[in-house]
Amino acid sequence: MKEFQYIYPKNSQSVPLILGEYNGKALLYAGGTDALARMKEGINRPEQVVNLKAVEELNYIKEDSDGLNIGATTPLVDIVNSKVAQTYGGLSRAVETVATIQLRNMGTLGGNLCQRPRCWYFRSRHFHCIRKGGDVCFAVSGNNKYHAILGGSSCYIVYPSDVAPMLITLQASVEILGPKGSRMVPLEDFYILPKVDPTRENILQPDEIVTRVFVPKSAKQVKSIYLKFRERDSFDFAMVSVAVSAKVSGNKLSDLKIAMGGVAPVPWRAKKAKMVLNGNTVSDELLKKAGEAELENAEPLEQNEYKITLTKNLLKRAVGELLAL
Amino acid sequence: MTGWKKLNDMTYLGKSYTRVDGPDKVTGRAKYTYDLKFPGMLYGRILRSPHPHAKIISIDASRVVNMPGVKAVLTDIKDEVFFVGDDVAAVAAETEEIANEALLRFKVEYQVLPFTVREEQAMLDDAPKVFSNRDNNIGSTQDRTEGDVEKGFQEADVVVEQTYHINVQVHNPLEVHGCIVKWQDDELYMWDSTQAVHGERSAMARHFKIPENKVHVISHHMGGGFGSKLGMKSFHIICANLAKKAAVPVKLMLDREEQFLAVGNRPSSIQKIKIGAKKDGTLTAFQLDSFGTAGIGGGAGVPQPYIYQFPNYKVNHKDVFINAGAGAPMRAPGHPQANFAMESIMDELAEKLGMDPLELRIKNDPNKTRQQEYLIGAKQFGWDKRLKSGSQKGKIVKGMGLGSGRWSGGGNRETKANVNIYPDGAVDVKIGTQDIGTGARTIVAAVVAEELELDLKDVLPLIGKSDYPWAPASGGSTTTPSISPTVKLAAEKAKNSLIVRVADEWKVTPDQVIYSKKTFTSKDGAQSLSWQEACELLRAPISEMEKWNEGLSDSGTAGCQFVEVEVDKETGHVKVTRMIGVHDCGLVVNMLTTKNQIQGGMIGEIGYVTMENRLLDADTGIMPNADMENYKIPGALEMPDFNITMFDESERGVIGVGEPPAIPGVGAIANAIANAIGAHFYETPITPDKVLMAIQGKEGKS
Repeated sequence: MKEFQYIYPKNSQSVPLILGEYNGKALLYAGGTDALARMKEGINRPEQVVNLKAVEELNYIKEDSDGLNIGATTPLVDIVNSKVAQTYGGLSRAVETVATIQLRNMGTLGGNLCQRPRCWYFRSRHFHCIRKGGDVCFAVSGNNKYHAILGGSSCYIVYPSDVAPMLITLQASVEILGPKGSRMVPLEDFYILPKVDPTRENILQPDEIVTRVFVPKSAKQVKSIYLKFRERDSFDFAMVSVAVSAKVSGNKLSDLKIAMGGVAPVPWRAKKAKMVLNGNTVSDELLKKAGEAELENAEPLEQNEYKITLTKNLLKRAVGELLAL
Repeated sequence: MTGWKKLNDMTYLGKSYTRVDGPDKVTGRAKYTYDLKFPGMLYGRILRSPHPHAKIISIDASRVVNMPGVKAVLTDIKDEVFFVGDDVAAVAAETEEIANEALLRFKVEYQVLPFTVREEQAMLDDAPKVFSNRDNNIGSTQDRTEGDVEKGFQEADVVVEQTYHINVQVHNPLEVHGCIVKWQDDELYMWDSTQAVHGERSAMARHFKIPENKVHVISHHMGGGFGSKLGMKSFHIICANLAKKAAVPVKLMLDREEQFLAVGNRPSSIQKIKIGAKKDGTLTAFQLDSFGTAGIGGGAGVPQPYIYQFPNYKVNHKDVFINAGAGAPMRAPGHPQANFAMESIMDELAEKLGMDPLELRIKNDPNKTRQQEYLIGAKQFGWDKRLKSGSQKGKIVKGMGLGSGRWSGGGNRETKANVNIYPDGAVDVKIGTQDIGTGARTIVAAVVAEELELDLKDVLPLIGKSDYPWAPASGGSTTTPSISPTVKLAAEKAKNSLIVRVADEWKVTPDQVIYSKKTFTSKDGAQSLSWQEACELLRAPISEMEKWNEGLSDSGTAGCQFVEVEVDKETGHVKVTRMIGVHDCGLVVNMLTTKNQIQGGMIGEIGYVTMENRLLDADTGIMPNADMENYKIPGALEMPDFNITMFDESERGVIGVGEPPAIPGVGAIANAIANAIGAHFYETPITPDKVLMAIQGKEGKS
C-alpha cells in the first residue's frame, strides 16, 4: 500500500471542499471494509485518505415526524439493533444480512450504499477493465457466473448492496452534500447503469458525499421484506436478492414496489413484475407471469442462465413471504 | 521391548484429553512463523509473473535498488515463467510496505509466449506447449490391466458409462506459507511453517551445498498445511538468498493470493468410466480413461478402480501440463477424485439394477473391517429411511448418500526419539516431528506419560526442530504411527535405566524393583521411593535414544461415511445436515484429537464437493478467485451434525488417520444430492447454479 496523507475533516461541510481540493482523488474512508481492501489490492492508490469516522455528526439514528433519518457513517450494526429502525418494515432485517457481524460492526450505511462492485475483474489489479477506465469488460467472455443478467451493456457488474434494494422499496432518499450545499435524491435515482457511465455506480460528483438516508413514515404503513440468496450462508454477497414492499389486503397487493439485488449493475426495479402483480389477487399463476414478464428481456451470459430461474423463484418466494407476514 | 498396555489399563491412550498447547494457541502465546520477529529483520516479497507463459528478456531494478529501505534485490531467479504467479524477482526491505511498493518499481520486459490453461485443449496436437523441450503436454502415463475387461463387459447384464470432471482444489491452510532465514557464519537457521523440518534441512543443505548439520529448521507452531508444506519450495531458496545478500534475517511470508497460485493444489481429474455388473450386483468389469492436470507439475493419477472388487479392469491415465502452478500432495492425494467418480457411478449402477446402494457396496467390498463399518454406520444413520431418488415433493427435499475410503498410514522405521529424565524429576522428550495442527505435540507427551505413568503435564514435549532426532514429514498419515512407537520405546528405555539406578541404590537386581504410579518398591516390600526421590539419585540426567520398531503400529485403514442433505429446489441450495463417519485407525492415541481430525476431513469434503473451485480465466490464464471471498470454503453455518464412531481395532497398534476421513464423504455428498433431486452430477463443485439447472433440466424433460 502506498503511503498517504490521512486527513481528519472538521465537519461534514469541509469534506466536499477537501475532495475538491484534491480533484476528487482523495479516498473516502469510513468503516473501511471496502476501501481498505481496494487499497490493499492496489485498485485505489490514493495520496490522501479522508477519515469520515472523524465526522461524528454523521453517526446517528433519529426519527422525526416525517420519518427516519440515519447518518451516513452510522455503523450497520446500530441499524440492526435500533428499536426505532426495527419499526421501518424489513430495513433492520435487510441490514442484518450484510456480510458478517464483524463487517457490520465496522461497515457504515453510507459506505454500504456507495460501495464499489465485487466483480473479480474489477477487484483484480491484473485487469484494466472498463470500470477502471479500460476498454473491455472481461466478464463477457470470461468467468461470469456471478454477473448481471439485466441492465448490462459495456459492463456486467451486479450491484452488491443488500440495504439499497430494501431502502428503494421503502422509498428512501439520500442527502447529497456538495461544495454548494445539499440536495435530496430518491435512492432509486441515485444509481446509474453502465450505459450512462461504466466507470461509476452512482450520480455522486467527485466532490460530493452522501450524508444522510431518509426513510419516510410511509414505510411503517406497508409490509416489506428482503430475501437474500447466498451461495454460502456463512458469508456471502447475494447471488440474487429481492426486496418487496406493498399494502396487503387479503391476497391483494397494492402500492407494490420490488427491487432486486445481484441481477443488474444497479438495484433493479422490477417494474414489469409490479405491473402484473399490483392491484391483483396473487396466485401461483400470477407470480409465474410476473417473473416471466420481468425476466423476459434478461440477457444471460455463458455461465449465469441459472439466475433467471433463481430470480423468478425468489420473487415468488418473497411475495409469498410478504403475504404471510 | 513390551507392547502397548491393554486399552482399559491405559490412562491416556484410547481416551480423550485436551491439547497441551491449546491454552497457548487460544491466548496467542503460541508463536507461529508469522508472529516471529528478529532484530534487524527485513521483509521479503516476490515479484510474480502476470503472464501464464513468457520469457524474461530483461529486468530493470534500477528504481528498486535506489529506494530508501530496500536492502537486497534478486533478479536472476529464472529466465522463463510458466504460470501467472511464477517467480520473477525478489526484494528485501525494512518494512513490508516498502517491499510491496518496491515490487511495483521493477521494469520487466517479457516475451509473451502462447499458453494453455484448459486440460482438454492442452492435450491437442496443436496446443501451445507448456515446456518447449517436450513434444507435447502429456506428462507421465499409467496403464494397468487385470483380467479380461472385454470378457467382463460381455458377462455384464448392466453397463453404465459416464464422464466425471473434478476441479482443482487449493489447500488454504489458515497460516499461509512462509519462513524466516538467518545466516550465522556459515550456518543457516530457518523458521518455517513446514510439515517437514528434517526434509527441509536436507533439501536446503543440498541446495546451498552446506553440511546438513549446519542447517537448522525450526517449526514451533504452524497453522496447517494439508500437504502443501511438505518440502522446500522456491520461496525458501529466495528467502535464504535475500538473507545472504542482506546479511540480516529475512522474513518472507506469502499472501493469500500467492498461496492460491504458487505453492500447490489438488490436481483436476477427468474420468471416463465404464462399469459392468451382473443382475445380482456382482461387478464384472471396470474401464477408465482419465486425464488430469497438476499445472506444470505431475501426479494427477487416481487409484482406480477404487475400493470395490472388479475381476477385470483396464485403467489408463495421462497427466496433462497446463500453464498453472504445480500441484502438491493434498490430504489423500488422488483418493477423493477416485471416490467421487466411483461412488457416483456405483449409485447410478445401483439405480439401474434396482438395488439399494448400500447392498451393492456390501456385495462388492472385499474389506472385512469396512463390511462391519457399513452396518454400524447404516444403523446409526437410519439408512433404511432413504427414499427413492427424486421421489419427494415440495420445496425442500432430503437426500442420503454413502461412500467409502481406504488408506495405508503406517510408521516410518527410521524415526528416532530421545527421552530424558532429570535429577529433579523433570522429564522431556525430543523428537524432530512437527505439529501441523493435529495434536502431535500432545500425543508425544501423552505416550511418554503413559509409559512412565506420569501426568501429561509432567512431560515436556520438545518437537519442531531439525536438531532433534529424526522423524518423517507430517504427510501420508504416517506421523502418529511413526512417533508413538518410537517415543514409547525411548520412554521405556529411560524408565528401565531409572529402575537400574534404583536397584543399584537398593543393591538388588533390577527385576526386584517394581515401578507403578510414580512409586518404586522392592519386591519384598521393604523399600520404597517416590518418582522424585528416585530421580534425585541421578548424578546426571538419563538420556535414552530409541528407534522405531515393529509391533506397536500397523498400516491400512478402512472407513465409510453416510451423509444427509437438504436441497432447496427453488434456489439450488444444498445444506449438508448430517454426516456420520465410521473409521478405524488401530489403537487411538487421543480420541479427542482423532475425532477432531476426522471432523476436519469431513468439513474439507463439504468444501470440495459443494464450493471450492480454482478457476482460471481462459483468455488470460489468471485465477479470478484467488481470495477467500470468491474461493469459497465452508463456514460455521455450513456445519452439519457430526457423529463419529471409531471402530475398535486397538490390538493392531497405532495407525495414521490424517487422510482417511477426507475421502468417503466426497462421493457420499454428491450421491445424497442426487438422491434428493433425482439427477446425477458429473462435475464438481456441485454449486446452486448447477443444482438449479439440473432440476430445471429434469423438469423440462418430464
